[in-house]
Amino acid sequence: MDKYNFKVVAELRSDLTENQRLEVSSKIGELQRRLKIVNIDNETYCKAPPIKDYDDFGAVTFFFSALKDLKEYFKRLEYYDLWEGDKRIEV
Amino acid sequence: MRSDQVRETDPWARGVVLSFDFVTKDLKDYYSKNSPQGAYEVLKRFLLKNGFEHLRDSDYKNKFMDKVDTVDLLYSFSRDHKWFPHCINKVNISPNITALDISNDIKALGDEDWKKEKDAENAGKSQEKQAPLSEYKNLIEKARLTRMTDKPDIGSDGKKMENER
Repeated sequence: MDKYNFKVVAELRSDLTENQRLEVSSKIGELQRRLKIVNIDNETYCKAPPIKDYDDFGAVTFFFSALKDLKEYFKRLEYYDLWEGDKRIEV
Repeated sequence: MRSDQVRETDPWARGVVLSFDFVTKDLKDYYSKNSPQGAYEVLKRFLLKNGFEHLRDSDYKNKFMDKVDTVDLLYSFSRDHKWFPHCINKVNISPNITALDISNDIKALGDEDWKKEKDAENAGKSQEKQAPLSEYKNLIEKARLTRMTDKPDIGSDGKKMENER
């Protein structure tokens, strides 16, 4: 795995109905496919390799912006800029 | 630097510069066939409304927004303007770096004597260039005078006065 510079931590709420879970998971999956984002553990998302010269910024940041539209489904939604040490907590 | 001042090391501390460019053919296909360039105006209005300042061409500056908020803004624009993601050629977000204008300071260092010499030299060259024209004028004047003297004297009655001399 290439060294990534940006990541999103997104954890779904445990009280979602099955339908809600399916719906939001499908939206996340579609965003992952379009932006080439991979899920490296249960909650952490970063850009799929190869990563070169901080070119993971756009994909991961747009991913975070899009997930903010679904924020009611998350119990944790955070953005990390490991390059410059920035952190945004949406939920 | 004074010891009580902290050097600003974060290149993004002064905000962002956003630059973008569209593909004209895509603008014709997805924005407007007749006025594709209007897309630049639409995005310009949106950016100005959101605190950006127009620099030149398609460069905009926002001193208070960071790179993540800029992406957020573009995300919301693309959500409301479906043509936008399909027409983009390039979008760059870069740190707004302060430009230090030293033009007047370097001008103040100019050697005035050297400049005067150069100015005199240039004035000489320019006179040389003008010489052929003045010579031409002199020739015309000479020709005019010659014609006047060669002209037979005409009396008040209109007859030649040569024989009367």
